Amino acid sequence: MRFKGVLPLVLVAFGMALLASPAFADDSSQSQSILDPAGPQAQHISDLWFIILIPALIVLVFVGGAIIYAAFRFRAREGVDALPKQIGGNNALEFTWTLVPALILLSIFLVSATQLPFLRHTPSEAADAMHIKVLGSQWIWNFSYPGLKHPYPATMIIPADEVVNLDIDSKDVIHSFSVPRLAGRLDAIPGKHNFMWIQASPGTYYGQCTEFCGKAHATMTITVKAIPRDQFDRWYSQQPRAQGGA
Amino acid sequence: MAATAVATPRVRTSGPKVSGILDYLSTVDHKKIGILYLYTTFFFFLIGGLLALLVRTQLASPANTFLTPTVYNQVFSMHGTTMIFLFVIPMWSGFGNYIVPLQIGARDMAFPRINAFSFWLIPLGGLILFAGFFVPPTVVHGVTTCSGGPGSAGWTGYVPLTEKQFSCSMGQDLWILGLHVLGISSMLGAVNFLVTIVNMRAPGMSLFRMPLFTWSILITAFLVALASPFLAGAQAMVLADREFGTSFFQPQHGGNAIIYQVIFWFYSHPAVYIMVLPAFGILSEVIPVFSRKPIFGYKAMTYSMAAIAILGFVVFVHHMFNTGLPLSVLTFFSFTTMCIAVPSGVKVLNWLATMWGGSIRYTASMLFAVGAVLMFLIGGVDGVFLGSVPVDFQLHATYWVVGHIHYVVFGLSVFGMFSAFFYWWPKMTGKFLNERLGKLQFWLLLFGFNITFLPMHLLGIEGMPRRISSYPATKGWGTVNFIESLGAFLIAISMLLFLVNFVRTTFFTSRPGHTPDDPWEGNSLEWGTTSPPPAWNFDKIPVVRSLRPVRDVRLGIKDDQIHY
Repeated sequence: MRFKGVLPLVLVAFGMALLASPAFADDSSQSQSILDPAGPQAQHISDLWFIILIPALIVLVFVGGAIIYAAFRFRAREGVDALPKQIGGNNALEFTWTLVPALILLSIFLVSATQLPFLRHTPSEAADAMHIKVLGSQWIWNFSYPGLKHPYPATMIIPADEVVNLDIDSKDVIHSFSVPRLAGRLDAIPGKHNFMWIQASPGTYYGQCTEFCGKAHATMTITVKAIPRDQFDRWYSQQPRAQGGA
Repeated sequence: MAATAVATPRVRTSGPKVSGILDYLSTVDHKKIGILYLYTTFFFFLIGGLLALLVRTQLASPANTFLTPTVYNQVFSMHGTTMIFLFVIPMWSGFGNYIVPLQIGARDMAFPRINAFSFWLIPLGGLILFAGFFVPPTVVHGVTTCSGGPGSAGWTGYVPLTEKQFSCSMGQDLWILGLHVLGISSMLGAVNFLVTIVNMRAPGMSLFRMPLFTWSILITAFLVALASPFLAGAQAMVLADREFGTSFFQPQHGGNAIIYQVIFWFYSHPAVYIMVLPAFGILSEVIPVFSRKPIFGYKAMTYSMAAIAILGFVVFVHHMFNTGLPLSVLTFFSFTTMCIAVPSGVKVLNWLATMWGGSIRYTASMLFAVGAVLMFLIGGVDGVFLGSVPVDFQLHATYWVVGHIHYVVFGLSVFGMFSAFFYWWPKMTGKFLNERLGKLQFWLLLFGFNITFLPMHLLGIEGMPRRISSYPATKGWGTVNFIESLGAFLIAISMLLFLVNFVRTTFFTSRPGHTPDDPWEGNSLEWGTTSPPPAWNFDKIPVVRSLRPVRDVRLGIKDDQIHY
């Protein structure tokens, strides 16, 4: 092989890059990691991600490994010119490698689809939980509370460890509400009312608009502050009231 | 003899003699049109690549100010649009044009003039799209009321963002018109391929004696013919909304913004298969030839391509899992999405089985083919995560998706394209690309590609959305983005190597005294004529008795006993 010289070089460079990466240790104080859940929805999806990772890695290792093995093992030998055995197919094999992946995929589908009602329907024991109106517009999120006079831009304060309902709308173009440590995203679409629920452990969580919405899309951020119920009540009681509101 | 010949009169040898550039400007010959396609689309590939380098430079560090948000949005939108509509899709028309008539033993495409017309629409469409960069800002009394510039709403052009009040630049209209022109080109090309492959196959070439590349182009042509009108329709409605006062997609006037996505993805999901099916075809030509074995499971390979094409029409809603659709709809489309992974897996395993027990000759073409299979495997596996609706709630529109689409469209289609270049270059030009440079390019591209796109999965998990022009340092995405940007420049260097190879071969290498007709021990009919083939392709139209007519002649096989 003429490329013996190049391959190790590239491998070394690649290895160095890998080794170096933890050394950088970025500041991730505003993490948006989907695998660092702080609410039941994100927890479910994180678990599901790890469940799917198992068959994914098995397939990658075995099929990828077999391809790499075959690529090395069956290279042409110097001086050997005889044709290899000519095999045009094998129906039993075709049947097997149609059926086995189909069964794996079917189980991934079932494990996933059965989560959907939990993720999209408010738990029945929280039927009277608070509704916050989430309104996306270029390029700011506004959060309105029942009975309060003004909407609150960019930062949403919620009571911790409680179900909170979000009614998501858009004033102009399509946006998407996403706070990955709490829940999956849901689009804010003009002319369509969307609905989701979240629940958060005490803490501050970060997110942003995840549907491209024009010039300042990147700065359309979301901060969710989950504070204990008594603190939330105190904060709420200090806010200006809507006229004739509750 | 498996491939005998019947004498038929040559098509046309007289006519005005023109040469050089004039010849190419006026040609209706499928081979020259194919070469025109390849030059043009490769040019757009380089432009799209430069745009990608701008994107990667901007994202290399947090809070970077290399590009303004407005320019960044123009750049990433035109990167996607260029790569999809001006590069990958018409690039396969280039190979299809050159190779398909040769593989089926025909003298030309069915409609040579329509063929030339559909090619010339490509540069026209490209000019219209890129003319957007020259749309000046609108200034009224010293105040800029519109920033001008090209289409900058992503390659998907979602409404209402592309409506006039949100995208005021005429560049967005040009973007729509450019897509229309390119759509007409694809549709004409598709009809031409369908008629050619259905009607003009050599005597004896039944459907199941067709080479798999021809199969892939046939199925792709079906997809283009059936799906492209939907893109044209969606864009026509946006244009009407913008310029003629309709309100198809304006909710405040009774329109519906979601319908656009349904129509758009009804085209654009099949479009993904329009971009990858011909690559499946290439791999199914290259891997058996260089493994010196027949393709494993020929019929399984055709059925799986057909299954992918049909299922490709019923998975499109998986691009809309986050729009708040009813759970029953999400469940159905999650199921179909899982289904389409099955025939994709069948393809990978059949390529593996073709290599298994073979005697593999590592030409540059074969290296790219094996690389393409591996990259497609990764792009298939990471796609399954997205098929799971709950996981898609988290990963949709993050860099996980960017990684996924690049593994499929770059990893499979672009690696497949280079495999095809090295494989068919001697047939098309009579010269060989340099193998050493080609192999060096392969290793550079393989590592550059993976350094760029593998870490995108990490960014997806870390919640980095796609299409953001910058990000603060506090998100923890800086290092990974920096490494990716380094990888992007490795990719750029590997492309330079290909350009060097091209220039060296084209301008500084003389034709060998006699270029072999069949340098790789090929199977299909293109290897049964000279390199490059004469204008009439074959002196005598061959008669086909098996799947591998040229091999039968080479080995003196009378009756191919291989069970396919």
